[in-house]
Amino acid sequence: MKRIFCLLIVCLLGGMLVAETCAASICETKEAVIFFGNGVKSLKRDARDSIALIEKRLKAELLPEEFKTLEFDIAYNGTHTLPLDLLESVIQLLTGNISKFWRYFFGLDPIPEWFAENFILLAGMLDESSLLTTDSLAKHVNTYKTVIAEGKKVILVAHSQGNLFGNQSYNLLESRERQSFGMVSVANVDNNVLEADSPYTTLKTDKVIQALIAVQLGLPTSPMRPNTENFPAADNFWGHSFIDSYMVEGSISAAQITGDITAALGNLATPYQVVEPGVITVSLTWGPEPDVDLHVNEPNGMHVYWDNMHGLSGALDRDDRSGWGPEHYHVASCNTLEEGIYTIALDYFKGSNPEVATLQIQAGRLIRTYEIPMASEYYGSSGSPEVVANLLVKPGVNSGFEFEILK
Amino acid sequence: MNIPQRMILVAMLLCLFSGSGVSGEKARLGPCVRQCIHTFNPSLADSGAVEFMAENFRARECVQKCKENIYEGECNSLADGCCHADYLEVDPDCQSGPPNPEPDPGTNPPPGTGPGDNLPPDPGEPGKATLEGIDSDRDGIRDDIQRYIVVTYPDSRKTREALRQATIALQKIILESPDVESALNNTELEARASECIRFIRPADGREIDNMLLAEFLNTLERSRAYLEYDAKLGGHVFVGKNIDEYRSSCLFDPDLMED
Repeated sequence: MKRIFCLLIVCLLGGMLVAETCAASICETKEAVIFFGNGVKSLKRDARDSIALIEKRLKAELLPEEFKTLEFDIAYNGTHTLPLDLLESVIQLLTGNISKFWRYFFGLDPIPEWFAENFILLAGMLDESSLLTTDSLAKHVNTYKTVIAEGKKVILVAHSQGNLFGNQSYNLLESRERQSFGMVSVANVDNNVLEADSPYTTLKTDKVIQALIAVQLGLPTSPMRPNTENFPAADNFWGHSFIDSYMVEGSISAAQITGDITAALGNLATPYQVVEPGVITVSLTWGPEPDVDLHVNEPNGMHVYWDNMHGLSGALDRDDRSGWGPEHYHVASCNTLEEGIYTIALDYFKGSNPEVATLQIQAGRLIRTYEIPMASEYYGSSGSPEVVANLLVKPGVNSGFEFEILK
Repeated sequence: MNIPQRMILVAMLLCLFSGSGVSGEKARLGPCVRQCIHTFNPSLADSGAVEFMAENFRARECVQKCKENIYEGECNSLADGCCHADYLEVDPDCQSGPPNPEPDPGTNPPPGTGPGDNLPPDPGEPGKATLEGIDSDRDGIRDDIQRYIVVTYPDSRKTREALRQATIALQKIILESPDVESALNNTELEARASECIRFIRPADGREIDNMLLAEFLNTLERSRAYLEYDAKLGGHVFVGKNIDEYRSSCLFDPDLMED
């Protein structure tokens, strides 16, 4: 009855929720995930266009059967107040026309010198410690680890400050995982690529990199030197845009970047599969305390957990009792996916100190990562799992399924 | 019997006695009705769905709103079922054809049906005074943006529809993203709208999408609200649709529109 009531509420509040369709592509198993890691001038919408362009270029480059094995995601890095700081720094010069700011920002209108100077100044003042917020980094690393554990290669196409995130993520991976993690470096503001002298692409006409090298503010060492020249150079003021400068169709830099991605696909080791991929996956990790347990109640009523690892829809394919995790639940395919609510809960089964659990739910195209602090009152509270999220699966509009993750 | 029950009964009777019946047939769901349903419930994303039929009473309310020109200038009598009052009374689901044939393409549309007709007045500076702005015709789109879309793209109805979808997402973003969870939900709406624009306009979709955003964020307050929303997305991972699937992101049926 309670579930029916919840479903009714969900229907009534539909306007507040978002559904994702489980299209055929979601049901297909992938072999590699290509992430785009943006710089601080890129809003999420820019990052989306960037990964779409990478997808388009690889579709033209690869055989259809190779292309089908790829998934394209965004590992979004926040802009760290740069756009707002920039807006506030130039607001007097805009004479009340705020839309003009955005037209400059997106490169829709020719950029005046004063706008460019303010941007360079503000970008140069961002230091690495303020960029690399630990919670953002942890979420990205958790995703990379989960993808690798599912037996897929990870390639991060990192642009600008996204290189700092990429290098730090690499540092936080285990050596086994590093063999399946590659980074294609573009406009690198860091001084290395994955701790090595690996290929990278920085345009000699990139004014942002030139300015960062000149001002030397904030960054630990000088960015890697520009090494690529396009003929003719793109007609883009900054020379720094991933889409408008580096990935211009037919350019040397675009060919180089696409080539680096395909090379990484071939060179990276296929990881040993620790957990099963699926149309729904729930991955739980935590710290050194011995045992945090993942519980899933399936729509059919089955309670899946360490003492009953197989449900009718999915299964707990990994149970960990010695710290860190992962514990992992998956619904292998659309064939066993059920309509209704999958309730996802945690139980701090064994431990003696506060612990922080990280739970990542992926359902179709929806990914949510939750960090759950487990305070002392939960120590050893076996048998009383705390609900973290409800995952609603319902029929798709024309076919397939739709997902909603409800907190 | 309360009103919803009565409406359901009427719908059932219509199903039983209608020559063609409703069962097994898609309800009419043109751009105006889709737009209207979307404001009720974005998760009813596409047309002709089982869910839509289950929500029939809502659809009819939307048909009524379209008929009443709440969405002025966007009503398509064939696609939306927003036929005149007499027609609605005899066939409230608009399952039959329209009582009068649609004007031939190429002929001048009748007065009051062109994209620029019935536009709200320019709100001017008062339209910038609040975060939400002025929406005098209550179509979910700020008056200044409604005017911008129609004036900038008078020749492409598909483009106008895609930009209206994007505007509704943007309005929700700046007004209803107080926490990470809501920002994560709203970013999916924005993504679907952007994908739709890029499907409709593969060559310049990114540019016109950014031009719309520039127009939409025309005050410091609105810009700040959008950037605060974007900041909440930092650290998260997003899976986009494949380019081949962008068409399904449109909340209207582009095939029903000629231009």
